[in-house]
Amino acid sequence: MDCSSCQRYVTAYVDHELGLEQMLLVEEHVAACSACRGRLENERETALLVAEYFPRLVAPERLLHRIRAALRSPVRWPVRSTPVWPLAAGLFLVWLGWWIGIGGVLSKNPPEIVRDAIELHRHSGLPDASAVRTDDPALANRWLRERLAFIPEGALRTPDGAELVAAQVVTIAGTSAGFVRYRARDGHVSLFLLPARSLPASGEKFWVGGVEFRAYAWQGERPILWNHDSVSYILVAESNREIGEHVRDRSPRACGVCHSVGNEWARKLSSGELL
Amino acid sequence: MAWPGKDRGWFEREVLPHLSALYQFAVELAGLDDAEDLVQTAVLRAWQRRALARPDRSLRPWLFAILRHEWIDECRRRQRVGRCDNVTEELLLTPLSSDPVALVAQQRNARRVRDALRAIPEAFRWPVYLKDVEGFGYREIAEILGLPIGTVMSRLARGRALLRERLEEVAAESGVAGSRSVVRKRTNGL
Repeated sequence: MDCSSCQRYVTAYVDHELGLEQMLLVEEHVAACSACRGRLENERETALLVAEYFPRLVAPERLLHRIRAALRSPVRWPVRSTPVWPLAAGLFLVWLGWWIGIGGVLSKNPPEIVRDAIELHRHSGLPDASAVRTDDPALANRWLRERLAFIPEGALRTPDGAELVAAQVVTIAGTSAGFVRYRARDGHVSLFLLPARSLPASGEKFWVGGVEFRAYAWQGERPILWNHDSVSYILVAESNREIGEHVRDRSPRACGVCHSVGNEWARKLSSGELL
Repeated sequence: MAWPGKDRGWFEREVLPHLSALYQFAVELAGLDDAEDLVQTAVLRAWQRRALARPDRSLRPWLFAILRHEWIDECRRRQRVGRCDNVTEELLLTPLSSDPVALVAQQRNARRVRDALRAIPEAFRWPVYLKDVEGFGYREIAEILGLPIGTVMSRLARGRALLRERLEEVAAESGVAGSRSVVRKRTNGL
């Protein structure tokens, strides 16, 4: 091992992240090289200095009580300490909207399975180690098929203007589902694949290209649900206007799915007719 | 919604022991004023997303990743209204020594190390913090920061080098010969 290779491995050596063979090579080199030995000592000392002297804090007891109380509360949405007046104004606007007749739109709460999908879409960062990270839809499809028997071949495609990031198996509303994450130009797109089920009665019903869809407007998200073959799909994106642009500008296909929904769907999404 | 085997009792057993570490990370990210709100938001978010938690692995890196994402979201929200600053708070050090002289020295060194770490760019600061303060492995740091392991390693090396330079500057400014002297004092039982 020469000095340049040794320098590359010094940090991992100090942190015990090297394999045995590389570790022995580093040790052999630093035993004979004072420059690399000095570098290793410096790095180790700095790490020890931080570990020993960085001030440690203890969470205040009141924080533990706050969290326990919040977990026991029926409302579990994270609530920051917010001034009362914006909340009151918001409630007033909701009531006003209801009163003047747009309450019908707000009342179309999606079923639990769609709400769970929205939650995962909103709050899932990069999938953890249980996910398969790939931009190859065939590989992701095969990976999901090995874990979820209901998923057929060709259930996944990568929409134009988007890039497949990863696939994962999650549980939503007590059902094992495929969770596929795309990176699109304007944000993330999440596609959930579940065993086929009857489309719920709620939601905005529309038909495009012979396929029946349900669209929802809920808490700023606009998920879309439909069935195809043995799979129920739920699609959640940063905003359906963006999906609409992708569809209109680039492809007549729905994001990642094999049926053609045509420009009518894109037009409706873009114009907000579905909201 | 019901997650089989992941009820509130399980969640509290698995998550609440990490509260102090999360709080410390939140103080570093957001400052003392916002740390409690940030931790509470992150823990409740973890409760909502418990379907993604793997029971065969430690939840700690997953919780840290959620906390960090919540802070990024909060920063984006604040930037829309023109404010996102980390509040610099006074050092709240858990006393380790009952000897007043040792305590003063301990606080002085703690402040030096903390200030030096805070002075290096964030890209290098968080790998050093997560490794040397929190003791995470490279894979876990990669998961928390959303970086490849090779990047974590190179930033860690660079971060420690910057930190050492900074500590030596501080030590020189305050009349100490160099950071090695601080290390020697540590090993001499300061």
